[in-house]
Amino acid sequence: MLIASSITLAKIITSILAGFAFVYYEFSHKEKLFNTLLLTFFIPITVVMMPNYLLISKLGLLNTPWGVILPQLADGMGIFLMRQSMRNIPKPLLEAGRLENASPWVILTRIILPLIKPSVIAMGIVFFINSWNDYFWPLLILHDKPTYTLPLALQMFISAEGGSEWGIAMAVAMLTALPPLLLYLTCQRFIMNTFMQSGVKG
Amino acid sequence: MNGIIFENVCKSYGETPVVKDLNMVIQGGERLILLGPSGCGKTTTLRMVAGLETITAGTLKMGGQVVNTVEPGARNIAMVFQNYALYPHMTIWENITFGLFLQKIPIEEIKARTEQALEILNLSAYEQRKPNELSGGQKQRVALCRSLVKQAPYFLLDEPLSNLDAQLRLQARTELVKIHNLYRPTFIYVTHDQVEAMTVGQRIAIMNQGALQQLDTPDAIYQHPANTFVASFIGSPPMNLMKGSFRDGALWIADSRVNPPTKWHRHLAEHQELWIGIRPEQCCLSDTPMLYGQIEFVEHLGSQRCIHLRLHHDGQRLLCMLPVDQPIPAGTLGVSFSWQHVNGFDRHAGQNIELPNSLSHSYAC
Repeated sequence: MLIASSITLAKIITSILAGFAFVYYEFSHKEKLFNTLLLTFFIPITVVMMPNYLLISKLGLLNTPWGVILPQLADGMGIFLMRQSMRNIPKPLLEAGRLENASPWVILTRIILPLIKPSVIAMGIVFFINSWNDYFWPLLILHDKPTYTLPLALQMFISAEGGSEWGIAMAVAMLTALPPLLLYLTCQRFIMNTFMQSGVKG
Repeated sequence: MNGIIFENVCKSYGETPVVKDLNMVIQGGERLILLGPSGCGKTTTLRMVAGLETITAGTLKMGGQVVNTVEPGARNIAMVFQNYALYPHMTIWENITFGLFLQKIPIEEIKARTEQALEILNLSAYEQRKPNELSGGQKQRVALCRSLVKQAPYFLLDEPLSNLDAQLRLQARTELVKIHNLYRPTFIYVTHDQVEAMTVGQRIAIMNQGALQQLDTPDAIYQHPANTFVASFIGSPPMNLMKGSFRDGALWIADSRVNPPTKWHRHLAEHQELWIGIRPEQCCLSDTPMLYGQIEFVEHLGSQRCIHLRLHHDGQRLLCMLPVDQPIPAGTLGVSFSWQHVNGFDRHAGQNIELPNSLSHSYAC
Protein backbone atom coordinates (compact mmCIF):
# COMPACT_ATOMS: atom_id res chain seq x y z
CA MET A 1 0.00 0.00 0.00
CA LEU A 2 2.82 2.39 0.92
CA ILE A 3 4.73 1.64 -2.27
CA ALA A 4 1.67 1.97 -4.53
CA SER A 5 0.56 5.20 -2.84
CA SER A 6 4.04 6.73 -2.98
CA ILE A 7 4.46 5.87 -6.66
CA THR A 8 0.98 7.21 -7.47
CA LEU A 9 1.55 10.45 -5.59
CA ALA A 10 4.98 10.98 -7.13
CA LYS A 11 3.72 10.31 -10.65
CA ILE A 12 0.76 12.67 -10.19
CA ILE A 13 3.00 15.48 -8.94
CA THR A 14 5.63 15.09 -11.66
CA SER A 15 2.98 14.72 -14.38
CA ILE A 16 1.13 17.88 -13.30
CA LEU A 17 4.29 19.96 -13.02
CA ALA A 18 5.76 18.72 -16.31
CA GLY A 19 2.40 19.07 -18.13
CA PHE A 20 2.09 22.64 -16.78
CA ALA A 21 5.59 23.48 -18.00
CA PHE A 22 4.76 22.16 -21.48
CA VAL A 23 1.55 24.21 -21.64
CA TYR A 24 2.38 27.42 -19.79
CA TYR A 25 6.02 28.14 -20.53
CA GLU A 26 7.78 28.83 -23.80
CA PHE A 27 11.26 27.33 -24.06
CA SER A 28 13.50 26.21 -26.86
CA HIS A 29 12.97 22.71 -28.31
CA LYS A 30 9.71 22.36 -26.37
CA GLU A 31 7.99 20.30 -29.06
CA LYS A 32 11.05 18.12 -29.67
CA LEU A 33 11.34 17.41 -25.97
CA PHE A 34 7.68 16.47 -25.79
CA ASN A 35 7.94 14.19 -28.81
CA THR A 36 10.96 12.49 -27.25
CA LEU A 37 8.85 11.96 -24.14
CA LEU A 38 6.17 10.30 -26.28
CA LEU A 39 8.78 7.95 -27.69
CA THR A 40 9.33 6.53 -24.19
CA PHE A 41 5.89 4.87 -24.54
CA PHE A 42 7.44 2.49 -27.05
CA ILE A 43 10.37 1.34 -24.93
CA PRO A 44 9.41 -1.98 -23.30
CA ILE A 45 10.07 -2.44 -19.58
CA THR A 46 12.36 -5.39 -20.33
CA VAL A 47 14.79 -3.06 -22.13
CA VAL A 48 15.22 -0.71 -19.17
CA MET A 49 15.06 -3.40 -16.51
CA MET A 50 18.76 -4.30 -16.44
CA PRO A 51 20.16 -0.75 -16.40
CA ASN A 52 17.63 0.22 -13.71
CA TYR A 53 18.54 -2.83 -11.64
CA LEU A 54 22.25 -2.01 -11.87
CA LEU A 55 21.59 1.60 -10.87
CA ILE A 56 19.45 0.62 -7.88
CA SER A 57 22.08 -1.92 -6.92
CA LYS A 58 24.87 0.68 -7.06
CA LEU A 59 22.77 3.07 -4.97
CA GLY A 60 22.46 0.32 -2.35
CA LEU A 61 18.67 0.32 -2.52
CA LEU A 62 18.18 -3.39 -3.27
CA ASN A 63 15.68 -5.04 -0.96
CA THR A 64 14.19 -1.70 0.10
CA PRO A 65 10.87 -0.06 -0.86
CA TRP A 66 12.88 2.89 -2.28
CA GLY A 67 14.39 0.56 -4.84
CA VAL A 68 10.89 -0.17 -6.15
CA ILE A 69 9.70 3.43 -5.97
CA LEU A 70 12.68 5.36 -7.36
CA PRO A 71 12.55 4.31 -11.05
CA GLN A 72 8.80 4.98 -11.16
CA LEU A 73 8.67 8.60 -9.99
CA ALA A 74 7.62 9.97 -13.40
CA ASP A 75 5.52 8.61 -16.22
CA GLY A 76 5.40 9.69 -19.88
CA MET A 77 1.75 8.77 -20.24
CA GLY A 78 0.86 10.88 -17.18
CA ILE A 79 2.68 13.92 -18.55
CA PHE A 80 0.96 13.44 -21.89
CA LEU A 81 -2.47 13.20 -20.24
CA MET A 82 -1.91 16.26 -18.05
CA ARG A 83 -0.65 18.31 -20.98
CA GLN A 84 -3.71 17.38 -23.04
CA SER A 85 -6.08 18.20 -20.18
CA MET A 86 -4.42 21.55 -19.55
CA ARG A 87 -4.45 22.40 -23.24
CA ASN A 88 -8.22 21.96 -23.25
CA ILE A 89 -8.60 24.78 -20.73
CA PRO A 90 -9.59 27.95 -22.64
CA LYS A 91 -6.53 30.18 -22.92
CA PRO A 92 -8.36 33.36 -21.78
CA LEU A 93 -8.84 31.77 -18.32
CA LEU A 94 -5.08 31.60 -17.86
CA GLU A 95 -4.61 35.03 -19.41
CA ALA A 96 -7.20 36.49 -17.03
CA GLY A 97 -5.07 35.06 -14.21
CA ARG A 98 -1.92 36.63 -15.64
CA LEU A 99 -3.68 40.02 -15.84
CA GLU A 100 -4.57 39.68 -12.15
CA ASN A 101 -0.83 39.35 -11.45
CA ALA A 102 -1.28 35.76 -10.31
CA SER A 103 1.97 33.80 -10.04
CA PRO A 104 2.36 30.58 -12.08
CA TRP A 105 1.87 28.64 -8.83
CA VAL A 106 -1.43 30.42 -8.13
CA ILE A 107 -2.56 29.87 -11.73
CA LEU A 108 -1.74 26.15 -11.41
CA THR A 109 -3.30 25.57 -8.02
CA ARG A 110 -6.27 27.96 -8.10
CA ILE A 111 -7.29 27.88 -11.76
CA ILE A 112 -5.89 24.84 -13.56
CA LEU A 113 -6.04 22.07 -10.95
CA PRO A 114 -9.71 22.59 -10.01
CA LEU A 115 -10.60 22.44 -13.70
CA ILE A 116 -8.68 19.24 -14.44
CA LYS A 117 -9.52 17.51 -11.16
CA PRO A 118 -11.41 14.64 -12.87
CA SER A 119 -8.41 13.91 -15.11
CA VAL A 120 -6.04 13.95 -12.14
CA ILE A 121 -8.26 11.55 -10.20
CA ALA A 122 -8.59 9.21 -13.19
CA MET A 123 -4.87 9.25 -13.80
CA GLY A 124 -4.19 8.58 -10.11
CA ILE A 125 -6.49 5.55 -10.12
CA VAL A 126 -4.79 4.07 -13.17
CA PHE A 127 -1.35 4.66 -11.62
CA PHE A 128 -2.45 3.13 -8.32
CA ILE A 129 -3.91 0.02 -9.94
CA ASN A 130 -0.78 -0.46 -12.05
CA SER A 131 1.56 -0.07 -9.07
CA TRP A 132 -0.62 -2.28 -6.88
CA ASN A 133 -0.57 -5.08 -9.43
CA ASP A 134 3.09 -4.65 -10.35
CA TYR A 135 4.86 -7.99 -9.91
CA PHE A 136 8.04 -8.24 -11.89
CA TRP A 137 9.99 -5.16 -10.76
CA PRO A 138 9.32 -5.74 -7.02
CA LEU A 139 10.29 -9.39 -7.57
CA LEU A 140 13.70 -8.27 -8.83
CA ILE A 141 14.32 -5.72 -6.08
CA LEU A 142 12.74 -7.25 -2.97
CA HIS A 143 14.23 -10.44 -1.56
CA ASP A 144 13.17 -10.66 2.09
CA LYS A 145 9.64 -11.77 2.90
CA PRO A 146 8.87 -8.84 5.28
CA THR A 147 9.48 -6.38 2.39
CA TYR A 148 7.25 -8.23 -0.13
CA THR A 149 4.37 -6.48 -1.88
CA LEU A 150 0.98 -8.26 -1.98
CA PRO A 151 1.39 -9.86 -5.45
CA LEU A 152 4.74 -11.30 -4.28
CA ALA A 153 3.25 -12.52 -1.04
CA LEU A 154 0.40 -14.13 -2.95
CA GLN A 155 2.90 -16.14 -4.96
CA MET A 156 4.24 -17.73 -1.75
CA PHE A 157 0.99 -19.73 -1.41
CA ILE A 158 1.31 -21.28 -4.86
CA SER A 159 4.10 -23.74 -5.61
CA ALA A 160 4.96 -25.18 -9.01
CA GLU A 161 6.11 -28.38 -7.29
CA GLY A 162 2.78 -29.15 -5.65
CA GLY A 163 1.60 -28.41 -2.15
CA SER A 164 -0.19 -25.21 -3.18
CA GLU A 165 -2.60 -23.90 -0.59
CA TRP A 166 -5.32 -22.92 -3.03
CA GLY A 167 -7.87 -21.92 -0.44
CA ILE A 168 -5.58 -19.40 1.22
CA ALA A 169 -4.18 -18.30 -2.16
CA MET A 170 -7.68 -17.55 -3.48
CA ALA A 171 -8.64 -15.70 -0.31
CA VAL A 172 -5.50 -13.55 -0.46
CA ALA A 173 -6.03 -12.96 -4.20
CA MET A 174 -9.56 -11.80 -3.45
CA LEU A 175 -8.35 -9.44 -0.72
CA THR A 176 -5.59 -8.18 -3.02
CA ALA A 177 -8.07 -7.39 -5.76
CA LEU A 178 -10.50 -5.54 -3.48
CA PRO A 179 -8.79 -2.13 -2.95
CA PRO A 180 -8.23 -1.33 -6.65
CA LEU A 181 -11.66 -2.69 -7.50
CA LEU A 182 -13.37 -0.49 -4.93
CA LEU A 183 -11.29 2.48 -6.03
CA TYR A 184 -12.23 1.90 -9.64
CA LEU A 185 -15.92 1.43 -8.93
CA THR A 186 -16.02 4.61 -6.85
CA CYS A 187 -14.28 6.77 -9.42
CA GLN A 188 -15.02 5.08 -12.73
CA ARG A 189 -16.97 8.08 -14.10
CA PHE A 190 -13.78 10.19 -13.92
CA ILE A 191 -11.86 7.52 -15.83
CA MET A 192 -14.49 7.20 -18.54
CA ASN A 193 -14.82 10.98 -18.98
CA THR A 194 -11.08 11.54 -19.09
CA PHE A 195 -10.28 8.88 -21.65
CA MET A 196 -13.29 9.81 -23.78
CA GLN A 197 -12.09 13.43 -23.79
CA SER A 198 -8.52 12.59 -24.69
CA GLY A 199 -9.87 10.42 -27.51
CA VAL A 200 -12.31 12.93 -28.93
CA LYS A 201 -10.53 16.21 -28.45
CA GLY A 202 -6.95 15.00 -28.79
CA MET B 1 -1.78 60.92 -17.49
CA ASN B 2 -3.10 57.46 -18.37
CA GLY B 3 -2.50 57.89 -22.05
CA ILE B 4 -1.23 55.16 -24.34
CA ILE B 5 1.22 55.90 -27.14
CA PHE B 6 2.06 53.56 -30.00
CA GLU B 7 5.29 54.49 -31.74
CA ASN B 8 5.97 52.50 -34.92
CA VAL B 9 4.59 49.37 -33.26
CA CYS B 10 4.81 46.23 -35.40
CA LYS B 11 3.72 42.69 -34.71
CA SER B 12 4.39 39.69 -36.87
CA TYR B 13 4.06 35.93 -36.49
CA GLY B 14 7.10 34.55 -38.25
CA GLU B 15 7.13 36.16 -41.66
CA THR B 16 3.47 37.22 -41.50
CA PRO B 17 2.94 40.84 -40.43
CA VAL B 18 -0.19 41.33 -38.34
CA VAL B 19 0.19 44.94 -37.20
CA LYS B 20 2.20 47.28 -39.41
CA ASP B 21 3.96 50.38 -38.16
CA LEU B 22 1.19 51.57 -35.86
CA ASN B 23 1.42 55.16 -34.64
CA MET B 24 -1.40 56.25 -32.40
CA VAL B 25 -1.94 58.39 -29.31
CA ILE B 26 -4.80 57.48 -26.96
CA GLN B 27 -5.63 60.23 -24.49
CA GLY B 28 -6.02 59.37 -20.81
CA GLY B 29 -9.67 58.77 -19.92
CA GLU B 30 -10.97 58.61 -23.48
CA ARG B 31 -13.13 55.89 -25.01
CA LEU B 32 -11.30 54.66 -28.06
CA ILE B 33 -12.76 52.02 -30.34
CA LEU B 34 -10.60 49.71 -32.46
CA LEU B 35 -12.78 48.87 -35.42
CA GLY B 36 -12.15 46.79 -38.48
CA PRO B 37 -13.02 43.58 -40.31
CA SER B 38 -11.99 40.17 -38.98
CA GLY B 39 -8.24 39.61 -39.17
CA CYS B 40 -7.35 43.32 -39.37
CA GLY B 41 -5.12 43.23 -36.27
CA LYS B 42 -7.38 45.03 -33.81
CA THR B 43 -7.45 42.25 -31.20
CA THR B 44 -3.68 41.78 -31.54
CA THR B 45 -3.26 45.51 -30.90
CA LEU B 46 -5.41 45.24 -27.77
CA ARG B 47 -3.49 42.19 -26.57
CA MET B 48 -0.21 44.04 -27.04
CA VAL B 49 -1.54 46.76 -24.72
CA ALA B 50 -2.51 44.05 -22.22
CA GLY B 51 0.94 42.47 -22.50
CA LEU B 52 -0.50 39.15 -23.70
CA GLU B 53 1.31 39.53 -27.04
CA THR B 54 4.92 40.58 -27.39
CA ILE B 55 5.79 43.56 -29.57
CA THR B 56 7.99 42.69 -32.56
CA ALA B 57 9.23 46.27 -33.15
CA GLY B 58 8.48 49.80 -31.97
CA THR B 59 7.62 51.28 -28.60
CA LEU B 60 4.47 51.12 -26.53
CA LYS B 61 4.13 53.68 -23.75
CA MET B 62 1.52 53.63 -21.02
CA GLY B 63 1.32 56.51 -18.57
CA GLY B 64 4.60 57.82 -19.96
CA GLN B 65 6.50 54.57 -19.31
CA VAL B 66 7.77 52.20 -21.98
CA VAL B 67 6.02 48.90 -21.28
CA ASN B 68 7.31 46.67 -24.10
CA THR B 69 8.69 44.09 -21.68
CA VAL B 70 6.45 44.74 -18.66
CA GLU B 71 4.47 41.67 -17.53
CA PRO B 72 0.64 41.82 -17.97
CA GLY B 73 0.04 41.74 -14.22
CA ALA B 74 2.29 44.74 -13.66
CA ARG B 75 0.43 46.96 -16.18
CA ASN B 76 -2.58 47.57 -13.94
CA ILE B 77 -5.11 46.68 -16.58
CA ALA B 78 -8.67 45.43 -16.39
CA MET B 79 -9.78 43.37 -19.36
CA VAL B 80 -13.07 41.89 -20.51
CA PHE B 81 -12.55 38.92 -22.82
CA GLN B 82 -14.75 38.02 -25.77
CA ASN B 83 -15.91 34.80 -24.09
CA TYR B 84 -15.83 36.48 -20.63
CA ALA B 85 -13.18 34.07 -19.20
CA LEU B 86 -15.07 33.47 -15.97
CA TYR B 87 -13.62 30.69 -13.83
CA PRO B 88 -16.27 27.94 -14.03
CA HIS B 89 -15.34 26.37 -10.67
CA MET B 90 -15.74 29.61 -8.71
CA THR B 91 -18.92 31.40 -7.66
CA ILE B 92 -19.64 34.86 -9.06
CA TRP B 93 -18.40 36.40 -5.82
CA GLU B 94 -15.15 34.42 -5.99
CA ASN B 95 -14.70 35.30 -9.65
CA ILE B 96 -15.03 39.00 -8.93
CA THR B 97 -12.85 39.06 -5.81
CA PHE B 98 -10.13 36.65 -7.04
CA GLY B 99 -7.85 39.42 -8.32
CA LEU B 100 -8.50 41.72 -5.37
CA PHE B 101 -7.37 39.05 -2.89
CA LEU B 102 -4.23 38.50 -4.94
CA GLN B 103 -3.54 42.22 -4.71
CA LYS B 104 -3.82 41.87 -0.90
CA ILE B 105 -6.47 44.57 -0.67
CA PRO B 106 -8.07 44.71 2.83
CA ILE B 107 -11.16 42.50 3.08
CA GLU B 108 -13.43 45.41 4.06
CA GLU B 109 -12.51 47.29 0.90
CA ILE B 110 -12.95 44.17 -1.23
CA LYS B 111 -16.45 43.74 0.18
CA ALA B 112 -17.33 47.40 -0.33
CA ARG B 113 -16.06 47.50 -3.91
CA THR B 114 -17.69 44.22 -4.86
CA GLU B 115 -21.06 45.05 -3.35
CA GLN B 116 -21.08 48.44 -5.08
CA ALA B 117 -20.18 46.90 -8.45
CA LEU B 118 -22.74 44.10 -8.08
CA GLU B 119 -25.38 46.69 -7.31
CA ILE B 120 -24.46 48.90 -10.26
CA LEU B 121 -24.68 45.93 -12.63
CA ASN B 122 -27.77 44.50 -10.94
CA LEU B 123 -26.07 41.22 -10.01
CA SER B 124 -26.49 41.18 -6.23
CA ALA B 125 -28.92 38.24 -6.38
CA TYR B 126 -26.47 36.03 -8.24
CA GLU B 127 -23.27 36.29 -6.20
CA GLN B 128 -23.39 32.70 -4.94
CA ARG B 129 -24.14 31.16 -8.32
CA LYS B 130 -21.63 29.52 -10.64
CA PRO B 131 -21.11 30.96 -14.15
CA ASN B 132 -22.88 28.03 -15.83
CA GLU B 133 -26.06 28.98 -13.94
CA LEU B 134 -26.16 32.40 -15.61
CA SER B 135 -27.42 33.61 -18.99
CA GLY B 136 -25.09 35.14 -21.59
CA GLY B 137 -26.07 38.67 -20.62
CA GLN B 138 -25.50 37.99 -16.92
CA LYS B 139 -22.09 36.43 -17.62
CA GLN B 140 -21.15 39.48 -19.63
CA ARG B 141 -22.13 41.72 -16.70
CA VAL B 142 -20.10 39.56 -14.29
CA ALA B 143 -17.07 39.97 -16.57
CA LEU B 144 -17.63 43.73 -16.55
CA CYS B 145 -18.06 43.64 -12.78
CA ARG B 146 -14.76 41.79 -12.33
CA SER B 147 -13.00 44.48 -14.33
CA LEU B 148 -14.87 47.28 -12.63
CA VAL B 149 -13.88 46.32 -9.06
CA LYS B 150 -10.23 46.45 -10.03
CA GLN B 151 -10.55 50.22 -10.60
CA ALA B 152 -7.65 50.04 -13.01
CA PRO B 153 -6.64 53.10 -15.02
CA TYR B 154 -6.88 51.06 -18.25
CA PHE B 155 -10.00 49.19 -19.28
CA LEU B 156 -9.68 46.88 -22.27
CA LEU B 157 -12.66 45.18 -23.89
CA ASP B 158 -12.36 42.55 -26.60
CA GLU B 159 -15.70 42.31 -28.42
CA PRO B 160 -17.56 41.95 -25.12
CA LEU B 161 -21.02 42.17 -26.63
CA SER B 162 -20.53 39.82 -29.57
CA ASN B 163 -22.34 36.91 -27.86
CA LEU B 164 -25.41 38.92 -26.91
CA ASP B 165 -28.68 39.30 -28.78
CA ALA B 166 -29.59 42.64 -30.35
CA GLN B 167 -31.75 43.84 -27.46
CA LEU B 168 -29.22 43.01 -24.74
CA ARG B 169 -26.50 44.57 -26.83
CA LEU B 170 -28.38 47.85 -26.95
CA GLN B 171 -28.79 47.81 -23.17
CA ALA B 172 -25.15 46.80 -22.59
CA ARG B 173 -23.84 49.65 -24.74
CA THR B 174 -25.51 52.16 -22.44
CA GLU B 175 -24.15 50.34 -19.37
CA LEU B 176 -20.63 50.47 -20.78
CA VAL B 177 -20.76 54.24 -21.25
CA LYS B 178 -22.17 54.63 -17.73
CA ILE B 179 -19.35 52.48 -16.32
CA HIS B 180 -16.78 54.59 -18.12
CA ASN B 181 -18.30 57.76 -16.70
CA LEU B 182 -18.00 56.37 -13.15
CA TYR B 183 -14.25 56.84 -12.88
CA ARG B 184 -13.11 57.55 -16.44
CA PRO B 185 -10.43 54.96 -17.15
CA THR B 186 -8.69 54.90 -20.52
CA PHE B 187 -11.05 52.68 -22.44
CA ILE B 188 -10.02 50.60 -25.45
CA TYR B 189 -12.84 48.68 -27.02
CA VAL B 190 -12.41 46.22 -29.87
CA THR B 191 -15.35 45.51 -32.12
CA HIS B 192 -16.24 44.77 -35.70
CA ASP B 193 -19.73 46.19 -35.20
CA GLN B 194 -19.80 49.74 -36.51
CA VAL B 195 -23.00 50.63 -34.62
CA GLU B 196 -21.27 49.76 -31.33
CA ALA B 197 -18.27 51.79 -32.43
CA MET B 198 -20.31 54.86 -33.34
CA THR B 199 -22.42 54.79 -30.17
CA VAL B 200 -19.77 53.92 -27.54
CA GLY B 201 -16.66 55.59 -28.94
CA GLN B 202 -15.42 59.12 -28.45
CA ARG B 203 -12.86 58.37 -31.16
CA ILE B 204 -12.60 55.43 -33.53
CA ALA B 205 -9.45 53.88 -34.94
CA ILE B 206 -10.25 51.97 -38.11
CA MET B 207 -7.82 49.23 -39.07
CA ASN B 208 -7.44 47.10 -42.15
CA GLN B 209 -4.80 44.47 -42.93
CA GLY B 210 -2.78 45.48 -39.88
CA ALA B 211 -2.59 49.18 -40.75
CA LEU B 212 -4.38 52.12 -39.16
CA GLN B 213 -6.66 53.68 -41.75
CA GLN B 214 -8.15 56.57 -39.82
CA LEU B 215 -8.33 57.82 -36.22
CA ASP B 216 -11.03 60.38 -35.61
CA THR B 217 -14.39 61.09 -34.01
CA PRO B 218 -17.37 58.99 -35.19
CA ASP B 219 -18.91 61.98 -36.99
CA ALA B 220 -15.70 62.90 -38.79
CA ILE B 221 -15.15 59.32 -39.89
CA TYR B 222 -18.70 59.05 -41.18
CA GLN B 223 -18.76 62.38 -42.98
CA HIS B 224 -15.18 62.54 -44.10
CA PRO B 225 -13.59 59.10 -44.53
CA ALA B 226 -9.83 59.11 -45.09
CA ASN B 227 -9.92 56.60 -47.93
CA THR B 228 -12.17 54.32 -49.94
CA PHE B 229 -11.80 51.46 -47.43
CA VAL B 230 -13.17 53.58 -44.57
CA ALA B 231 -15.86 54.99 -46.86
CA SER B 232 -17.14 51.57 -47.77
CA PHE B 233 -16.64 50.02 -44.30
CA ILE B 234 -18.51 52.64 -42.27
CA GLY B 235 -22.20 53.07 -42.87
CA SER B 236 -24.95 50.60 -43.60
CA PRO B 237 -25.58 50.63 -46.49
CA PRO B 238 -22.05 51.84 -47.30
CA MET B 239 -21.08 55.00 -49.13
CA ASN B 240 -21.64 54.98 -52.90
CA LEU B 241 -18.34 55.12 -54.75
CA MET B 242 -18.78 56.11 -58.38
CA LYS B 243 -16.10 56.42 -61.01
CA GLY B 244 -15.69 60.05 -62.03
CA SER B 245 -13.32 61.96 -64.27
CA PHE B 246 -12.62 65.66 -64.49
CA ARG B 247 -12.20 67.01 -68.02
CA ASP B 248 -13.18 70.14 -69.94
CA GLY B 249 -13.84 71.95 -66.65
CA ALA B 250 -16.58 69.55 -65.63
CA LEU B 251 -16.97 66.34 -63.71
CA TRP B 252 -18.27 63.32 -65.62
CA ILE B 253 -20.02 60.50 -63.80
CA ALA B 254 -21.48 57.69 -65.91
CA ASP B 255 -21.29 59.91 -69.00
CA SER B 256 -23.38 62.56 -67.22
CA ARG B 257 -21.85 65.99 -66.96
CA VAL B 258 -22.19 67.47 -63.49
CA ASN B 259 -20.92 70.84 -62.38
CA PRO B 260 -19.02 70.79 -59.09
CA PRO B 261 -18.31 73.99 -57.17
CA THR B 262 -15.67 76.13 -58.88
CA LYS B 263 -13.56 75.97 -55.70
CA TRP B 264 -13.04 72.28 -56.42
CA HIS B 265 -11.71 72.63 -59.93
CA ARG B 266 -8.09 72.96 -58.88
CA HIS B 267 -8.27 69.82 -56.68
CA LEU B 268 -10.14 67.85 -59.30
CA ALA B 269 -7.71 68.88 -62.03
CA GLU B 270 -4.82 67.50 -59.96
CA HIS B 271 -6.35 64.04 -59.85
CA GLN B 272 -8.65 63.85 -62.90
CA GLU B 273 -9.54 60.17 -62.38
CA LEU B 274 -11.28 59.68 -59.06
CA TRP B 275 -13.95 58.01 -56.99
CA ILE B 276 -16.89 60.20 -56.08
CA GLY B 277 -18.28 59.19 -52.68
CA ILE B 278 -21.80 60.01 -51.59
CA ARG B 279 -23.80 58.51 -48.74
CA PRO B 280 -27.07 56.81 -49.82
CA GLU B 281 -29.10 58.98 -47.45
CA GLN B 282 -27.67 62.14 -49.08
CA CYS B 283 -29.10 61.17 -52.46
CA CYS B 284 -32.55 62.43 -53.29
CA LEU B 285 -35.08 62.52 -56.09
CA SER B 286 -34.96 65.79 -57.97
CA ASP B 287 -36.69 67.72 -60.74
CA THR B 288 -33.24 68.68 -62.03
CA PRO B 289 -31.44 65.36 -61.60
CA MET B 290 -27.68 64.96 -61.96
CA LEU B 291 -27.74 61.22 -62.64
CA TYR B 292 -30.25 58.81 -64.11
CA GLY B 293 -30.60 55.17 -63.28
CA GLN B 294 -32.83 52.17 -63.65
CA ILE B 295 -34.39 50.81 -60.44
CA GLU B 296 -33.17 47.24 -59.88
CA PHE B 297 -34.91 46.54 -56.62
CA VAL B 298 -36.15 48.18 -53.45
CA GLU B 299 -35.32 47.10 -49.89
CA HIS B 300 -37.85 47.97 -47.22
CA LEU B 301 -36.11 48.91 -43.96
CA GLY B 302 -39.06 50.15 -41.91
CA SER B 303 -38.75 53.93 -41.78
CA GLN B 304 -36.75 54.10 -45.01
CA ARG B 305 -36.40 52.32 -48.31
CA CYS B 306 -33.12 51.53 -49.98
CA ILE B 307 -33.32 51.90 -53.76
CA HIS B 308 -30.76 49.98 -55.82
CA LEU B 309 -30.14 51.88 -59.05
CA ARG B 310 -28.13 50.86 -62.10
CA LEU B 311 -26.82 54.11 -63.64
CA HIS B 312 -27.41 54.72 -67.32
CA HIS B 313 -24.52 54.47 -69.77
CA ASP B 314 -21.89 52.65 -67.73
CA GLY B 315 -24.00 50.50 -65.43
CA GLN B 316 -22.44 51.61 -62.11
CA ARG B 317 -24.51 50.86 -59.05
CA LEU B 318 -25.93 53.57 -56.79
CA LEU B 319 -27.81 53.10 -53.52
CA CYS B 320 -30.30 55.70 -52.49
CA MET B 321 -32.15 55.87 -49.14
CA LEU B 322 -35.55 57.50 -49.35
CA PRO B 323 -38.25 58.09 -46.73
CA VAL B 324 -40.91 55.39 -46.77
CA ASP B 325 -43.68 57.91 -47.56
CA GLN B 326 -41.97 59.29 -50.68
CA PRO B 327 -43.53 57.87 -53.86
CA ILE B 328 -41.08 56.13 -56.18
CA PRO B 329 -41.74 56.33 -59.89
CA ALA B 330 -41.45 53.08 -61.80
CA GLY B 331 -38.53 52.45 -64.15
CA THR B 332 -36.06 55.30 -64.48
CA LEU B 333 -35.17 57.53 -61.56
CA GLY B 334 -33.39 60.89 -61.58
CA VAL B 335 -31.13 61.42 -58.59
CA SER B 336 -29.43 64.48 -57.25
CA PHE B 337 -27.22 65.20 -54.25
CA SER B 338 -25.77 68.07 -52.33
CA TRP B 339 -22.11 68.84 -53.07
CA GLN B 340 -21.37 69.58 -49.42
CA HIS B 341 -21.74 65.87 -48.68
CA VAL B 342 -19.56 64.66 -51.51
CA ASN B 343 -16.12 63.18 -50.89
CA GLY B 344 -13.54 62.67 -53.61
CA PHE B 345 -10.94 59.89 -53.56
CA ASP B 346 -7.92 59.38 -55.78
CA ARG B 347 -8.75 56.54 -58.18
CA HIS B 348 -5.36 54.83 -57.74
CA ALA B 349 -4.27 55.54 -54.14
CA GLY B 350 -7.80 55.57 -52.75
CA GLN B 351 -7.00 58.51 -50.44
CA ASN B 352 -9.47 61.33 -49.80
CA ILE B 353 -8.40 64.31 -51.94
CA GLU B 354 -9.75 66.74 -49.34
CA LEU B 355 -12.23 68.72 -51.41
CA PRO B 356 -13.09 72.02 -49.72
CA ASN B 357 -16.72 71.77 -48.67
CA SER B 358 -18.77 74.31 -50.52
CA LEU B 359 -22.44 75.03 -50.68
CA SER B 360 -22.18 77.41 -53.65
CA HIS B 361 -23.38 74.86 -56.20
CA SER B 362 -25.45 72.65 -54.00
CA TYR B 363 -28.77 71.32 -55.13
CA ALA B 364 -31.50 71.37 -52.56
CA CYS B 365 -32.62 67.88 -51.56
